[in-house]
Amino acid sequence: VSVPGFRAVFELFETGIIFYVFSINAIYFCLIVLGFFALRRHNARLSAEEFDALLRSPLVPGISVLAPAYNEALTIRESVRGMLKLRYPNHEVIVINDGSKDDTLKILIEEFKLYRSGRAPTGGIATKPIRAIYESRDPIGLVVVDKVNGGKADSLNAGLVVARCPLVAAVDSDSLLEPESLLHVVKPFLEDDRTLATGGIIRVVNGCTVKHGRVENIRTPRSVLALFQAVEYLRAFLGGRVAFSYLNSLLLISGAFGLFRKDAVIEVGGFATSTVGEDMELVVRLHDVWNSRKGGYRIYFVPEPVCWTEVPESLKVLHRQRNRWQRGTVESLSLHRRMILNPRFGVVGMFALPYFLLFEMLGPLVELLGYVLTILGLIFGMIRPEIAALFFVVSVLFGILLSVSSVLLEEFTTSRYPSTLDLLLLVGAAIIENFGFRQLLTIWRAQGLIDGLRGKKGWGAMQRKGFQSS
Amino acid sequence: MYSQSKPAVFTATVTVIAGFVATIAAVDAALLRVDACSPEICIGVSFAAVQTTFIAALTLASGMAKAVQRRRDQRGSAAGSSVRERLAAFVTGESEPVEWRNLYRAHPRLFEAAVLELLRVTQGGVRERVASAAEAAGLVDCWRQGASSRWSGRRSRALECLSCLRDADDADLFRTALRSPDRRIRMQALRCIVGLERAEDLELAFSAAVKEPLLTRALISRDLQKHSLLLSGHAIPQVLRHAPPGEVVSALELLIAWNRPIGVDGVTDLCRHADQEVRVAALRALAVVPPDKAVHDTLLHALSTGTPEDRRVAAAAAAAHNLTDAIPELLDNVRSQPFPAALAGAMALCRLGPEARDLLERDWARLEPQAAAAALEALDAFRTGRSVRAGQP
Repeated sequence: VSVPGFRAVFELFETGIIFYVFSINAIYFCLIVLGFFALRRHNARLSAEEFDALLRSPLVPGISVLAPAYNEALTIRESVRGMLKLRYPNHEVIVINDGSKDDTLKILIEEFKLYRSGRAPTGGIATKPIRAIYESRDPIGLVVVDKVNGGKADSLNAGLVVARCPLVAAVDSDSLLEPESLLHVVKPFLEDDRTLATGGIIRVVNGCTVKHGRVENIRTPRSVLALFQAVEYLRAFLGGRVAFSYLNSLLLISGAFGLFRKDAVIEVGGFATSTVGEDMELVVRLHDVWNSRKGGYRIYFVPEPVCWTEVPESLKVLHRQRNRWQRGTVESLSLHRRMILNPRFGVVGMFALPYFLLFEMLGPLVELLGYVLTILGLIFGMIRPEIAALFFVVSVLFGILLSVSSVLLEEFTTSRYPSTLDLLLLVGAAIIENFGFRQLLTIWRAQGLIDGLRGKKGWGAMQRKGFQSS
Repeated sequence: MYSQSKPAVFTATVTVIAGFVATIAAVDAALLRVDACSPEICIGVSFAAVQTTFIAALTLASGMAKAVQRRRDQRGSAAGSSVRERLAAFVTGESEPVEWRNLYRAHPRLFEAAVLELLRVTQGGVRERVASAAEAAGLVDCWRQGASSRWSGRRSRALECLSCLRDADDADLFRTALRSPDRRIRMQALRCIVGLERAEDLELAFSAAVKEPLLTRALISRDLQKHSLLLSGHAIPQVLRHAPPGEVVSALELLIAWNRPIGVDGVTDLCRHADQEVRVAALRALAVVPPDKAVHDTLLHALSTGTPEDRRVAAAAAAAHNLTDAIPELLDNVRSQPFPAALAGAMALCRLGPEARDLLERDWARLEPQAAAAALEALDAFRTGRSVRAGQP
């Protein structure tokens, strides 16, 4: 092939990548705009009077809060205290100690005066052996399940068979829940009896002050890495998920906080232990199994902040986390590949799953290829600078638009950051994250994609700093 | 949750995106016309320019909104107490009427908040004075206009305010609102109608409430509870006899939520209904109806011949009635499958007094593993005084 011919092919390839990246960002922008109008119309908030009426109502179904814990000695005390203090008429907290090697169980026993109780697992789902079930001598709804290590999904399954309420909330034990979080996420179950699962907005706790298990002073994170992630969380939750929920094609309810109908989860076989993305896999499986049911089903995203989570402040841990998330996406999509582009599954099969496959799963690899080819093309004079500029526009400028729009969406809807300085910091971070941080994530996600395709397993440890107490 | 607003949301989304794209295209066309740069650069510059304007405008707007809100809060805290004090002085007769209309115009939100607060906490003559002040200020007319608004948020809010006023003249307005496709509006209309406390309206409210989703019923149940005796005469039996199964279940759930020993005709008959949901709800409702022979016979029948779910709820109802005649059936239930029914049986035995508990304690070691686990859990929960939720509604 002659040099001009090769150059033409190269430029065509580059144009294809530009079109692809443009499509991802354009679809995402449409989802954010759709999310904005859906949020404005949604009017989900209950008044204080309605909250009180629900808190006194015996009609509100009970919730078992399942909190798997593995080596969480640093944060478990605060987290459990926070969970016990949730405002809900009828809830129990089930902490599942997944064979922790640190003092997690000891702390729980001493702090909450636990004793070995007579509660028994109901069966229905196989789990790693349960060593003991503890309950508190105090009049609090706390159950601690001590079991052999089997991973997060196995712990959630152990919690499921011990739970006694019709709804189960799967939460991370290192997360802090908003006092009204259960009332927020139970609302779709009360409004629509076809509801199978709901999730809410997860916010970044880094930088905030925590007192007695509650987030008191809401501030943006001081660490730049955490600040970028705060923007990223806003983009993921307020942009994409609101819109997907609106189309009843939500594929992911964050593992940090999700509420499910217990019978529906048990019926589909519980949380999958074969994947690191058990949260997404379960939701896709619920779509799979319930799609053909008469009367339909709904999986909702509640646009209310319900949970605060500590995000990694070290590149090493963040790398591990993102690699795992990407592998989870690969595994979930590969397990349910027959649903992709299958018209029987409606919007889920024809839009949500193809979107996840093309853009969430393969996106990082294509985007990375785009960066490499653009740089090489410029160095070797294979592409015109105009084409390189166009790639910069669709990837970086469009990225800025998406990030800033998400921050502003938060401001126009939930507006949880009180000061103008926080707003400016978030807008600043939404611009700067597109120069370096996003590209770094793209590399890690591409690595995760390759690891996922190669069948790599493993969770990776998260190093906790503990909450910043007042 | 979303279905009613879908066309409007889609239209708004398409309009904004079309506007955004059209603006970029217009800027691009203008740049190309003056031959400012190559086509690729032109489209890039157009996108960057429009995007920057878009972001800057929105950031500025949200920053200003934050500042305005803070200023309003600061002003509100100072003026709010003065408005409340003037209103309170008037309703307690310490001062003569003031020019309410001017006060309302000067501080519309604060005045409205103060009036609503007082309407919610006062009764009789004092309440009437607050209502007269609201009327004189023009606030009530504003609410009445809002109650017919096409904008659902405004309509719902106006109905919420009118529900505090409890004026019978607004009954037609409330009945019309009951037909709204918006759940919040219907819920507020229900509260308004119940607030009127008129027999015919209460019956209408009950028959409308059973058609509503659980959220509305949970929010309205306490309002209706005050009139449970009146409703048990005609409205509830009417629904139980003639309504479709879903509404019958809702009516029974309201009975359970009220937790009052009200005799309602037809509950025991529903315990043999063909629909499992109706049957289970009726058996649960038996726990709150006054005990008689028919209730006891129905419970014993359900415990011995019912489905596992029937047996589970019947066990709890038997314990609520302290039905010691049911001890043999409950022991059979402890030995039965599945676990929730066995656990409910064991829990009921624990609540039936020392004799039943002794039987369970003596027997548990000889039981099958699952039955033994249920017995152990129930005995443990009883000893520690904890309520074990043997499968909630």
